[in-house]
Amino acid sequence: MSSLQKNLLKSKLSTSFTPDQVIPEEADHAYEQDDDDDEQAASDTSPMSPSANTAPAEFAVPARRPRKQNYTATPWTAYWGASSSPHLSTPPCAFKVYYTAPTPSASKSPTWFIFHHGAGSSGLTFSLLAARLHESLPEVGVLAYDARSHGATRPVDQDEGDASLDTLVRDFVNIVAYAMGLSPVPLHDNKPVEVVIVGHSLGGAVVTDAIRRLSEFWPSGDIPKPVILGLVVLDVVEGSALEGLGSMRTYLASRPQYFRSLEQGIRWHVKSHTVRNPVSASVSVPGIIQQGSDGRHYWVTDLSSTEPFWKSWFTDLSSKFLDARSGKMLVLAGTDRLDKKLTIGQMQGKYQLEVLPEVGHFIQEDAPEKLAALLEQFWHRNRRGAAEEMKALNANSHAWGPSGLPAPAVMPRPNP
Amino acid sequence: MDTDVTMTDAAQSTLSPVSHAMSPPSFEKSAINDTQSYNELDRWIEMLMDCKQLSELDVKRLCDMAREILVEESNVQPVKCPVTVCGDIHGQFHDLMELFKIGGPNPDTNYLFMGDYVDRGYYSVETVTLLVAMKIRHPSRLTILRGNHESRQITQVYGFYDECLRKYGNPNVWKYFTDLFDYLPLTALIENQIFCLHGGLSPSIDSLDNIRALDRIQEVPHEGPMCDLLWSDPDDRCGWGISPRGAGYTFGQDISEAFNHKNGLSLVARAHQLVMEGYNWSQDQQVVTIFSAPNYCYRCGNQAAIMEIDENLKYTFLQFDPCPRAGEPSVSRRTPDYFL
Repeated sequence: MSSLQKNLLKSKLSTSFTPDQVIPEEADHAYEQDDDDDEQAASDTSPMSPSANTAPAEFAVPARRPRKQNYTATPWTAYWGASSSPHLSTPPCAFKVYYTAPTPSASKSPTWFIFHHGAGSSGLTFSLLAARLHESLPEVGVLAYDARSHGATRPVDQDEGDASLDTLVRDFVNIVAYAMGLSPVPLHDNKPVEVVIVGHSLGGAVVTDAIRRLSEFWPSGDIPKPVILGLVVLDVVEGSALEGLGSMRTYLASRPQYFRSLEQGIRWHVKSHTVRNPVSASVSVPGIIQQGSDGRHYWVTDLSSTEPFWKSWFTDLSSKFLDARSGKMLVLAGTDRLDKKLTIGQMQGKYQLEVLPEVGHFIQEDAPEKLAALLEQFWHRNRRGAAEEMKALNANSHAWGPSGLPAPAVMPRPNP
Repeated sequence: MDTDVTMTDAAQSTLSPVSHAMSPPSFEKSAINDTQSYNELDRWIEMLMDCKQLSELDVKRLCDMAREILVEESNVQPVKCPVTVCGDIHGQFHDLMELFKIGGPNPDTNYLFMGDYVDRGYYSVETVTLLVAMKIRHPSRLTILRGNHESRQITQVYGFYDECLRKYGNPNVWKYFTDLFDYLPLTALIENQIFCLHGGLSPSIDSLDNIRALDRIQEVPHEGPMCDLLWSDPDDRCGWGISPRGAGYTFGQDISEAFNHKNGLSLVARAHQLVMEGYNWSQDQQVVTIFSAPNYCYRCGNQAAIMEIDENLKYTFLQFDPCPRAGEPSVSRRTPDYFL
């Protein structure tokens, strides 16, 4: 690494990372803990000081007392009801799927939340969020999977195919169709399955494109298509993603190339603030690094090899999002990074924008409870039942006005 | 000067004239009653017009004085014509100066602002301090309503809280203002004919008396009538609809027609939505949207507008472009380190 590159890297790290960030040394590229300064890693933040990270030091939330942080891996079974590896899509892959099926209900349509992770991540990034959501809403099923070239998903043949948006969207639509078969209620029961699709980062681009291409990629056969109730995009905006592509290579170069153990990998994610919640990192990181024959743990996904696709993943994302006809929610981490189209759209009331303070890019890992509450509220507003209640409200409301009848009752809505 | 003032729609006025003479500036409701205080207020306003912030202590005194005035105002605050009605400002201080150039200085021109003074722009502190100071100086010549951004929760996310911390080194000024926001009236009624509010109608409200009965001195709730008044939007579809915003409702032309008819109104004037021309008629002229932040967020490319209502209740829209600015921070959004 040239000294120029090193200086560039260091100046970038100095502005964006906290002092306890370990700057990887050239030559080795391994991450190894040197001393124990874990009190910084677990510093939690108070909900009453949303901007403590930008506030002067005297108003910053004090770090917790030093304590030994545990970086032991947690198995996926702690958060998901089941896992499977169906062979799907083209070229076929054995997709690693994690899910908890909806609890059967005689009166309610089955609902699924189906999640797509970002590039380099895995389905396990949604573990805490999905478990929390299903706990609050047992009638809702949750499903995440490892995209091709990610996590524990493996090609059926040797060819895993490309990382183009088309391929990823085809995979996602096939996964949605697969989820229909996991529903506990027979599909011919006249109750269409309702689905909310949620994508993080690259996954946001995939689910946004999938909503308009569901028919195009829907597998042949007699699987009925679900009703897509809502589209949720987590921390990706076309404008800032395209602007940031230039620095992505520098970021990738700054990451350790391998870890000496799984625990070291989990620890790096927490200490570098890539994932700020150690509980989540302990279940998500095992999905993205794997042990090589030399005993070291390497990244499962070679992100650099996907670079030719980066631009095409995000181009037109804002227009596609605004054009989607389902309920729409965009959740951003930390600050409002809307581009022009999304700013206008938001200011015209075309979608729900939520900005969660004091979380990093992996919102679902850093704030699983807050995000689960937002998803629950979003589902309550957008479910078909709500539309029917609205119809009833309108049937009554035509009676008031000039006639002077009393106002209709307030619509029941959940507390955010 | 690239200001482009267009006068349009003067002929659209369909309201019946009312007759009352323009009254001189009056201090009848003022919380202050001595020359010294007026001198101080005038000094503050002069500073603020130069985009200079007040001291933390002065902001506290200002908010204390303003609260005494606002607590006396109604949830449906009566307003006389002539008056100029304005929409969202969002901390775009220099564009507010442009607005006063185009609409005329207060108190010579009476103003009614329909909320959203803070967040997103770079000068929320100066903008809201100035409007509150002007309110105290000439209470009957300036009406300031509450927008959905005049809330503790929203300002913590969209900039006002951070700006207060940056400019004062502590959150006290944010606290003084957000405590004051609880007292802002929710709606205004011009000559019993034009109903003005930030957002829109609510399925829980069918008469102005319903609004008068609300207890407004509180943080904007997440649901219910007070929330709806600050969050709802008109829509092309009939009836009530689920708002894509996640708060409030959408309401159709049938709803606004029934509401206007029942309450003897000719028009609902509201803000809250960006409209590229600065104003936008909808629902067969039952509803007009007014947006007064040109090139919103310094990147949307929209015009702004204000609605002048004369003593005969004739209205005229004045559109304007962003003021030419110097020395303002260029728009830079921090890009994330990792986003794939």
